Amino acid sequence: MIIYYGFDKDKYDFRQKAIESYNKTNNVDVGKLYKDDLGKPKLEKAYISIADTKNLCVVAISSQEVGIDVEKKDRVSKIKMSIKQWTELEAYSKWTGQGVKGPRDMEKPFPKDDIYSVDILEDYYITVCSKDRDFTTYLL
Amino acid sequence: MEKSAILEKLKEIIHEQLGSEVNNVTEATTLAEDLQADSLDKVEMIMAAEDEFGIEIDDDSAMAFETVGNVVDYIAAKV
Repeated sequence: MIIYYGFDKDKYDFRQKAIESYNKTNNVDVGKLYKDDLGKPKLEKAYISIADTKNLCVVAISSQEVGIDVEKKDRVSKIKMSIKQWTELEAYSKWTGQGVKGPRDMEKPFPKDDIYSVDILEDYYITVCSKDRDFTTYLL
Repeated sequence: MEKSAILEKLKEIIHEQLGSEVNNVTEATTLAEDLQADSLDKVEMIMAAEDEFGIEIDDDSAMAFETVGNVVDYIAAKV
């Protein structure tokens, strides 16, 4: 898995750059980015997940299904879970493709086996859900 | 409840949750693009709307909300 991250005001542009970089690094063409019926981002020849908060964009591209989320650690929220737990729920929901639909989703238990943290930025939680634990990070 | 009253209450919620200026918010205002609301913002807004209007907003409907108008219409059907 390669996790691309960067501060880019144009998140759509960032996604394309990440895909281009992945293609170049792996000498492949993973195909065009599209969304399935549930709105989950897809590639033809790899798996992808996308997240952004303020200007920080992250894109994870893997040979296995993946979900990724990012939040600022000091984000203030009224929900009953911590921001870190929220990113775990989001990463899992993006992995399944269902997404977090509403408040009730926060009350449903979810498996944590394939959820892990990527600690590359001091001020942000970056959380990944994937069976692919072999990742490198790349600042774009 | 009148849709205009619902809209006014929603504008208060948006102002409180997102800190945005709501003078220009109309039913056409989009949550993701115009208000820059992310999924956590959306969940918080739904929670606040449920409290304000005393209703439960089902997840599938919440998922489909794209504009402020979508939310107004949903609430109008329930209160």
